[in-house]
Amino acid sequence: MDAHRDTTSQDLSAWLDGELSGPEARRVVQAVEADPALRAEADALAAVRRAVRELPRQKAPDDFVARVLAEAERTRLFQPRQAEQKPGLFGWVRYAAAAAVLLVAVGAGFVIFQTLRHPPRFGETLAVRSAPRAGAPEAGALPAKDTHHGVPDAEARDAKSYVVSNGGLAVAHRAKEFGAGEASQAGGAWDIAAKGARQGGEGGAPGGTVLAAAPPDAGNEVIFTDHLEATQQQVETLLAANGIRPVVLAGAAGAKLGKGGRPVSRANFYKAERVAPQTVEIDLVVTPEQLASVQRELDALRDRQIVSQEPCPPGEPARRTRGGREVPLPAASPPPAPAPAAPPPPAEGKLGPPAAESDTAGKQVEETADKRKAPAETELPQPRKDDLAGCVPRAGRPEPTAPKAPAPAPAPTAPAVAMELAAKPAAPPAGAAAGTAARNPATREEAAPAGPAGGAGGGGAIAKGQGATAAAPSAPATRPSAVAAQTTAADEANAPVAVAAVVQPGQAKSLLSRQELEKLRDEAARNLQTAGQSAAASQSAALAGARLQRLRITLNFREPIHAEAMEELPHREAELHKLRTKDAPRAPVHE
Amino acid sequence: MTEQASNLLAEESSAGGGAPQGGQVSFEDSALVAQSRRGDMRAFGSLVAKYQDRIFNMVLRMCGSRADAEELAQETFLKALERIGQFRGHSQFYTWLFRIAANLTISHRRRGGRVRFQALGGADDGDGGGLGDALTAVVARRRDPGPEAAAASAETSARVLAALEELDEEFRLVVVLCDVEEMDYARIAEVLGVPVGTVKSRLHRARCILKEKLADLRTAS
Repeated sequence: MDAHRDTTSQDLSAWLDGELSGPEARRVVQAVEADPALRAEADALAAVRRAVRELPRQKAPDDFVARVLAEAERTRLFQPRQAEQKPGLFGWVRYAAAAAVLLVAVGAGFVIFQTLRHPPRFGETLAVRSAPRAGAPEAGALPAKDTHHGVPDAEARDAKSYVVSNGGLAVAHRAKEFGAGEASQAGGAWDIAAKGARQGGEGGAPGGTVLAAAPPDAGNEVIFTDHLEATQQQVETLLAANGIRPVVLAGAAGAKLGKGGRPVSRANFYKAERVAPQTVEIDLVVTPEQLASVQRELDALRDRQIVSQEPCPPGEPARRTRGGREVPLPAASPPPAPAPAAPPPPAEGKLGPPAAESDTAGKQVEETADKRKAPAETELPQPRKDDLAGCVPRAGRPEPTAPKAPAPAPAPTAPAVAMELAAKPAAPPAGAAAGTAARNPATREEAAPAGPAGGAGGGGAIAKGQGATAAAPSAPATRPSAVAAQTTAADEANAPVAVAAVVQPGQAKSLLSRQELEKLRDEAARNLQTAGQSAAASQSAALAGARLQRLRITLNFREPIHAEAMEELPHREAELHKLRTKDAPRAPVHE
Repeated sequence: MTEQASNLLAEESSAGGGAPQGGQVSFEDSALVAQSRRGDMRAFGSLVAKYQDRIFNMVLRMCGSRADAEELAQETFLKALERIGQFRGHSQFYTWLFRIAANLTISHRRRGGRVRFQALGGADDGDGGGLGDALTAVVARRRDPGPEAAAASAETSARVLAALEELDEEFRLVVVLCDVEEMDYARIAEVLGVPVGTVKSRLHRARCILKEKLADLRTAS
């Protein structure tokens, strides 16, 4: 009854205004006649309505029209509108042309928007393979040591073929780099041109990817992610900020060749290749300065990674997770051996033997790399405390006297690795304590200087070279170590480097804020400038390959890379090339 | 008396080339609009003359200040002229004109009166003190009902206007369009760009509020 009355009451105004249909009006009339209260309300509403309607009507001023027209004339609102003129025969032509231009502009804008919104993924736009040049050796051009992840040698060779020049390096030297069998390709078969991402990266803003550090997989250091795009974007941005760009092949639209058909190289290039459905490898050759910068920035990423949300069971050693599998941490991590004398530079232009061939000389690399890296580490922003929670890897910097973990054995399918994450030994109680300490900044502050046991207590503490610790004595003890400098390479120049992080699924936060990324970019730009100057200053040495280092970044994704994305590559290549080379920084070209 | 006054006002308005009442279609509008698009000043002047009072009255009831109403009404026509190329004739011209006026008025009110228009001619007497002036003038010209009736009417109008002033914009605008401009619900919905049901509910709600505010006035009458 009340509901019916409410409905009727709401209809009273409409009834008074004559806005109800016949049946509705009759229903209201019946209700009003039957209900005195409703009738009183109707009378009141009618009185209000009448009162408002009886308000006197006001007239505009007498000169209102003249004033409006004068103002309109003053503001030239009476100009005949060109667009409203009747178009003639050519008017339609103009319209058609304008429509075509608009269509093209919208299409181009859409392409650019989509490209920026969904940057090319590793293994998607970068996994461009060059067909081996006719007459070039099909096999043996690259040593078998370059085989990795079960990829056949030929594939590995192709992969290497995209590792082009370092900024300031002559293309011809790549022939030496990759063996005599490919020397003949230096004249023109190396149809590689810069598809350089703009310096500073594109996109750039981290998208909330989940990254988490994990111990290395015996030399393979990987980045897992559940968010492929964001990871790609971050790593690509990071590389681009360091002047390292992907490459494209000749034949692709916009590929530029220099004299003799050699590619015009503007800076470092890298090649990313999907070596497995879920794995992308990035090979690049960098200067030591760039190497340090890239490593440092990758470290900065990892420093903000959530390692694990699972607490360490009391009394149990911390365990690290690798690809969903738990891997017990090494029992001990011996201190790094004293660095031997620096090995002689490799043969000119040759990047050297596989890292696994030498385990002693690599220590020099470790020390050198750490010395380069350590001062910069202190400048990096401190990781967020909650990012360090968990029992896996991110632990405090090891003490100089801490026992050094044995160098992990290279994986059977892995290339030699010069630098890797190495887990510190985790004494069971200390490991659990460190796991707690990682979540408690105060505890970590106290635990860090606790000597070898304390330093090693972090389950998954990252082994650092002694030189690094010595080089950065003022580094905060609570800051997790950057990438450990464990070398197994023959020499610095030949050392392929793998940097890794493992993303644990379902751990959603971390990563850099936009400001942090900008800061890193600025720093990377400075490093790039320094690296460029250094390369220019020591061009001869660089040409000899003595100062080159090979870096390999392995990205392991939780899910296979979409096949359809791979198929899009040919169609998007030209557009991407155009987009990326538009404002690419022009470094000195050396051919 | 009030009904007679309304009729007189309506006659006066019609005699002065006033606008058609709500719901009526002016077949002249389309031609005048087309001529205005081509820069015909006289055609646009005709449109202004045709709708000036309605627009001015509606704006005045919304903003409460005569000076502001003059300025807003002028701005309404200038805006209409500026955008007359965008008027496709899918609705009545005056509906489109009222929509412009409503938007301008609401924007003006939301600025909180920080921008006060200065009257170009005459004193800004507002509407509170001059309530019923026009009506009184008309009545004085036609009949002479006596000063007492005019005073009572002015007082009532003042109370109603004060109550209107206290309404929220969305309620006040619906009341003005319905009871001052005498638009039907469909037209109001078109002007405001809201469903008819919204108009219905807003109007009922507004009248209920006014009923509470004017309770003593109803009791006295």
